[in-house]
Amino acid sequence: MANFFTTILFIPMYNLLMYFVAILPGHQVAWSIIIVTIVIRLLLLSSSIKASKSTLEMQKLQPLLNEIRTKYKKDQVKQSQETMKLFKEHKVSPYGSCLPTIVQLVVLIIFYRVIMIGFNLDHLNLIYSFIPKASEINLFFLGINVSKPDLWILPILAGVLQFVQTKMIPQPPMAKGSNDPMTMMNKQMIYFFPFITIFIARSLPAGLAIYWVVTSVVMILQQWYINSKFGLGFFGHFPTVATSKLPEYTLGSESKSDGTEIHPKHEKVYENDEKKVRAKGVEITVRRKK
Amino acid sequence: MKQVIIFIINIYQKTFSPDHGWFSYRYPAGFCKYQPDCSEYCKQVIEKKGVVKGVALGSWRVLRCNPWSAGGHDPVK
Repeated sequence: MANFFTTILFIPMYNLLMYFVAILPGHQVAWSIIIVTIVIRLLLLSSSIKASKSTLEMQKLQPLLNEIRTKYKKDQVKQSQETMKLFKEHKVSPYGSCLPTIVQLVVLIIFYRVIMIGFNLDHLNLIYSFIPKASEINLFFLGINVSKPDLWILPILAGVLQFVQTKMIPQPPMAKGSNDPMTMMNKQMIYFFPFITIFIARSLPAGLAIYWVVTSVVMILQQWYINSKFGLGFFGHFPTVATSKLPEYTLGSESKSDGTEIHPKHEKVYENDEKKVRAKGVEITVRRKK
Repeated sequence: MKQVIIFIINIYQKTFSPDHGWFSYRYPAGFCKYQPDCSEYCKQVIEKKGVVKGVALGSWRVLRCNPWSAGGHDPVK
């Protein structure tokens, strides 16, 4: 099994890195790592942009989601059914997928192995015949040896950039009056995580810290693009949408007085329209299914 | 063995999971495109079908959870 992973993951990645080492002037391993990282991020680009967009779209629906959640507190099945229905009517869907996240982790592990054993001229037999072999390998980058841990500059840079990146993701505001200690703690994690990053990066070879830094830079640019597209500013503030501007959504037949606006297409399905005025002064229509 | 794997998944869910852990507040509707999400599915399938089959089915699910799949409701059968 380990052999299998070595053949399909480790050796190709090793070859890719060594290819760039061979063709780049100066034969610096660091530049090779930077290029490969950017290539990987570009491959994941479209999926991760779509995921961020769908997260933003989804956050706009949060008031409705909260409504569903409080309404069907005890009925998990109903809750997830209604959530699905809400997504369907709004034509959004969670776009997060687990595989790209895992890919990043696997790349990190492969980089680690490559950097631990790879960058000397003893392993040239692992290189495919069609890849040019590097005549020399330069491990130094701005005076830092990429195969040894760098204690200050790169780890701190990685931590700071990661903090900026997490800060740029719009944060949903806390529900009023909610004092959920879990959420409070989770929110504080974003101040805590950069420190973990710094300590991990200090103990790993500097090459991995370079990977980390480059990944964060690409993610920052990506989030910047998305934030400016949605008009949220550099540090994305949360998109607040007036309840009246929310797209229509119908609660299930069991829904009581606090149903929301309704989709015009569904008009014929419903009888007994009731007009209700919400506390905020937004007029809503509640329709019950036959 | 089963307990060990489920324990590891539980730790993951309490920490890094974007659906259950520290970052879950950021994804009000859940992060994963599937219902139940991948880690929950793995937990249930290992519980139900045993370690060998469960890990295989769980891995298959994670592979399916890629940008080119539709997602949706996909309970343990």
